[in-house]
Amino acid sequence: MSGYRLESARIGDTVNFTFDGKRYQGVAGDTLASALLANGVDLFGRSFKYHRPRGLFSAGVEEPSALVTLGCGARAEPNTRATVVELFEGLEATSQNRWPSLALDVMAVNGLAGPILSAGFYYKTFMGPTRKAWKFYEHFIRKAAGLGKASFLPDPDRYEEMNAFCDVLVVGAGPAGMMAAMTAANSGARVILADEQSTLGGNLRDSAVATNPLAKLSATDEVTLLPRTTVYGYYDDNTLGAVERVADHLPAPVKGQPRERHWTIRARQVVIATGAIERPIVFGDNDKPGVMLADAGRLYVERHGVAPGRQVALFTNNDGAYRSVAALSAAGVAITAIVEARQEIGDQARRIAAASGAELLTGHVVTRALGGQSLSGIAVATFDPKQGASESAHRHVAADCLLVSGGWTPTLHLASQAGGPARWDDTLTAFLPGEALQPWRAAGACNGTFATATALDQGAAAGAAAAAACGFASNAPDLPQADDEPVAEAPLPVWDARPKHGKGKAFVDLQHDVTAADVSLAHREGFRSVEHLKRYTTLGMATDQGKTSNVIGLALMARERQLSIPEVGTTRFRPPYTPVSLGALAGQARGANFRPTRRTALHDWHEAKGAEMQAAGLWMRPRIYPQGGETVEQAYVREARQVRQSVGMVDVSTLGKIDVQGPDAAEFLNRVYSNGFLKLPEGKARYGLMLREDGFLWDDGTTWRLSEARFLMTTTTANAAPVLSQLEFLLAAVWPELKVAVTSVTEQWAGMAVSGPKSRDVIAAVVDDIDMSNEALPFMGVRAGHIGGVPVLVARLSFSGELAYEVYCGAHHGAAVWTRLLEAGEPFGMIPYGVEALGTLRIEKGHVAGPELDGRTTAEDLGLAAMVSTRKHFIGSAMVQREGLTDPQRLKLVGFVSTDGGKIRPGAHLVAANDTASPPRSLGHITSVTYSPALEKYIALGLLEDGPSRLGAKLVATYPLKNIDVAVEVVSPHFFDPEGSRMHA
Amino acid sequence: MLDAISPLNGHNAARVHRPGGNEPGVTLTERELVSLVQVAAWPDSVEQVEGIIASLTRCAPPQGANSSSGTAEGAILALAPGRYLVESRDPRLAAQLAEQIPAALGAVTDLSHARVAIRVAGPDVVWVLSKGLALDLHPAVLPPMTVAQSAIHEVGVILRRLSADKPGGDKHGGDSFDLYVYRGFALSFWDWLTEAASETGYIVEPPGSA
Amino acid sequence: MLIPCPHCGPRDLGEFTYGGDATRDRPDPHSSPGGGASAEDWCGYVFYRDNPRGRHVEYWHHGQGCRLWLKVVRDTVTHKIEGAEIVGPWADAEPKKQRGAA
Repeated sequence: MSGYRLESARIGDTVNFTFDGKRYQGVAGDTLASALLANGVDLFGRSFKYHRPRGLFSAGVEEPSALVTLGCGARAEPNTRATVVELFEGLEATSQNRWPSLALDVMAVNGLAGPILSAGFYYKTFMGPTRKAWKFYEHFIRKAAGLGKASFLPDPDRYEEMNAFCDVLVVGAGPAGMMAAMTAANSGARVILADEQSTLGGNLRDSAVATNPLAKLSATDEVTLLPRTTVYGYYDDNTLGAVERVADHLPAPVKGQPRERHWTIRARQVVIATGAIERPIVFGDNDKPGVMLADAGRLYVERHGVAPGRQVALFTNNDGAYRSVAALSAAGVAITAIVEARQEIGDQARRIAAASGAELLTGHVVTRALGGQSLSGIAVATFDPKQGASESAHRHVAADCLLVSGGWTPTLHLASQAGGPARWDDTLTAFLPGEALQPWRAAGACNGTFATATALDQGAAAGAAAAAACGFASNAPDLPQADDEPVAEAPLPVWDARPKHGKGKAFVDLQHDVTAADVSLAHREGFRSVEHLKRYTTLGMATDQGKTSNVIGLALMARERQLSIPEVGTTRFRPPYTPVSLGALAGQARGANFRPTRRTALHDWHEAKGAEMQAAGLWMRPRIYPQGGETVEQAYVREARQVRQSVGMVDVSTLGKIDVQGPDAAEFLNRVYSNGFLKLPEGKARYGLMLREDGFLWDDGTTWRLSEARFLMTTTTANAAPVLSQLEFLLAAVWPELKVAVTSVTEQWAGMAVSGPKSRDVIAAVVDDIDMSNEALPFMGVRAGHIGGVPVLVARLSFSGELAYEVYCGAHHGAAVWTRLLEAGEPFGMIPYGVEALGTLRIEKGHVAGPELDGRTTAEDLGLAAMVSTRKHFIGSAMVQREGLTDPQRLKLVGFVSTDGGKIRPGAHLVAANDTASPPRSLGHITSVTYSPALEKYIALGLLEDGPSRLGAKLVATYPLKNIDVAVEVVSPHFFDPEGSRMHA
Repeated sequence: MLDAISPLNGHNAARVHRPGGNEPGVTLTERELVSLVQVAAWPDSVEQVEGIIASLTRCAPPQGANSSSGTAEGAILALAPGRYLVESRDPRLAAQLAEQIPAALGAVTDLSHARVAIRVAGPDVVWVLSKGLALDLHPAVLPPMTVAQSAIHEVGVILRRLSADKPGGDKHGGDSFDLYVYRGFALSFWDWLTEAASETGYIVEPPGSA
Repeated sequence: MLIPCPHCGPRDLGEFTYGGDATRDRPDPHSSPGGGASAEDWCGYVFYRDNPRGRHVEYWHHGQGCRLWLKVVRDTVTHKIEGAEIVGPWADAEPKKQRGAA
């Protein structure tokens, strides 16, 4: 293999992939970044604002620059970090934010317009005098600035959730996390060990120090190992969110597998061993492809056998970076110069430097990266910690790769989400975890412990302590031996290495193109607190959330304000630690399974008969049963007319049904309903109103007394669950002395309303043992009997105003009883009808329903004042007589007929016909509308100011949104058979 | 007598779903539910009511909160203080309970049509259920005969653990649970369950065979 | 957030619905209309709520579990829950054997 793949590398199977349409080959175990690096690709993308060429900056999740779109079509995923994409056969990646091509990007001219696009650009454009101009420029600006584009196609993959419980969750499987997990597991605790990488072990991965204990761990009962799993958020009660990338490293999920799995982990104790992220040092043109974090260079060599360059220079302020020198030297990569900001370095670092053959320039810094689209050399100057870099003493060093290390930033995200403010450590020049506000412990590099041997030790101690906190006696395994290594223990605090008049753009946040000059500008313009700095410059607000830039930004602001870094403070971390796909958060709740669907026992029958179904909450109900090419209106008019003329049947199974039992059941209902229930006889039903405590109307329905101590309450479909909860509340908190049990039986009973003049004949034909005569089963009577041998309840109730019965049977028998009734109705032309016709029939009768019971109406408003007892106490009785609720000017229920033949719109406002004001004064609004087959015109119910006194008035129902005005006359809401003779027949 | 039709009718037929050619990890069976009755006692009648239920079902009363007792013929699940879900293969259960437990002692509510019962078993059943159930199903926390009420994908479930993973147990080995789900949600829940089990593969046994 | 249901054990917030401030006393209905409790008393019960910073006692309904109403003591700043008890006739019900919950 050509390019930068090292001779010494263990070559795995060849993997073919493309980048921007060009074919490349990598090897198994590569990331997209390492494979492209091996192929000599150094240009990965264009930057966010200035369209500057960008290369590879890191080897991990912190990557700010090498963002690509992965895949194409429905699986296209923008803004993936090439550094964490595991290479697979056939992978397609595309660079982003470039036009027309990555190498030639005309938008790079934005770089020349730098001052315009500097910090506060968006803020000033939105808020300043140029606000109008924004409308004009927005399109171009949005085109120029940005990242990849999301696919608009539905995601073809499956995602799912997982719930997990454990004694100890260990986040991060590096030396500290590994030891914590082993110690806790050895002590007998249930352990989950999660790590974002494909292989556990962190810096020890693939070494025997890690593989042997990890193999043992994976064989232990009660231990769950989760590679490729990022714990991204720490929530209340020690609940953590994690995403497992089950199939992201494969071309497509294997059959049955989800692409990603979201884990909700509830842990009794947590060990945070999330490691640390190296940070760079700012200098001129420090974003040039070829400039890379020092440890990333080491990882590409050690993990992937890829040299980051052929002539590598190193710029550091700490001993830790010499590990990279050692790794590159051992692999035979030429190191030309080590630019060391410090005068004195550690013995081991000095030995490594000497062995590498590189020129060691102590007391020097890199002031600028040189070259065109990629690095060709560096400018170096002497450096004094007090004076900074020399303005004059410059020299150039040739290099095609510069490894930079400015020290390490502990990964505090989880600790910060579940803890107090971070603590600043002056020696490490780093923030460390603050006080734990939930049961967690930090160990290893995230705790500022950078040496492997110490991290192993600290991990074991944290694991033991976590297990002990769960009640397990500690049983620590032997500590593995770690090699001696140079450590970034005391970096020299040098943040911006440029001399005062240094050249080139000096980037702090590479992903959002925020420069050191932007930080200074924010300071000059008064945006000095860290929160303001962040929002004004957008520093740290990109998809990488400033993993490599935040501390530098703070340091530069501290310099401007002449404060220490801890005095400037730090912003809090919020979840997620790295981006989480929406698919993982949605899990199985998508498409048809977005929410569960609730089906009645007659659902299959409705669908088989071609019913158009509609949702009522989670329930599905038949809207109409269209025949031929009927419109909705034609269908419901036909259905309603047939009910009035003969007989029809509607599925009312969705009504809430509550079994109310106990010695005090009647007393309880009497306190719940506004009308009396104490004297309801057995075998009778009564229509009841429920008020809220504030006196407004809440729900209505019939309640049937089945025996002395047993009632069947029905509620509206929508309020079934809230009413049950409220009844349970009253029995628990308000009247605990009442012996009453309430249970939902909504699902137990299938319900069907048989309505129309022939309904008695139909039921009489099939019912085994109920006398259906008017005398034996009068209006509001309830009887138990059988149809086809199965138990039923028959109640003579009418919502349609016709002679009508509700038949309830066990839900499993619902379809059979329904069919039996329809067969019996065949001689009468019996039809099924849907909720549209149900609405038509009740509007013709002036019966109120959901649109009228809107939470703002009282019983009096709806003409139901007689149902509100003044002789007893019930829920709402104390408030119902309030002044505001008895005001005669309140909106009250009346009927309307269309006088010009126009179709009245629900929601239309009622205005005086001669009102020319704009807008005219609203006198009320329309709530329910239907075409009435009985009256042969459009009719409506509505709420009108002092409505009953306006009967006969001519008004306009206006719907300004669609410019629809309909002339209406105010009438009684009882359009049809106001005497109720039909239902009493 | 008219037919009783399960809400899973047409979806619960015996089949094997084997995604990767592997042995399916879960077995799903819709159980035949003859009688399912809720009994609520008053605070002063708990012992009496427990005694009546126990003698009618020939089961010992459940030993405390979230526990159950049972035989092949029936089971008593403790749902809440003084509240029990009683299952029996005797179709007369509701009538018998109502006769022996007058209002002075408690309330008897027939729920035989309100729920379906699904038996889930097999080596991967804890894995599959954990995709929707925010409950610790570790046998030390939720041992056999324990009852829990929770929700899966917004659908309320009553869960009863029958056995915990140990060799030589259930015919498919491993864990087994009975889930009681409201009939209106049954098909939606079944869709969720079979999707969740599509990873491990599943067997649907004929209805009524468990 | 986990609510420690005295019957079911600690359960996810999603299984519960919030029932509001549990520190208010419902005025005696037999004193109104006509006597005793004033309109102000009822307004206080129905409309006015304190919004304490810190310890608060709230009603929660375990609707997706045992269906018991609970009084939960919660810190509104930290979300820490001090405890939960059953409201109503079963408040003193001693579960015969409370299993160890995770």
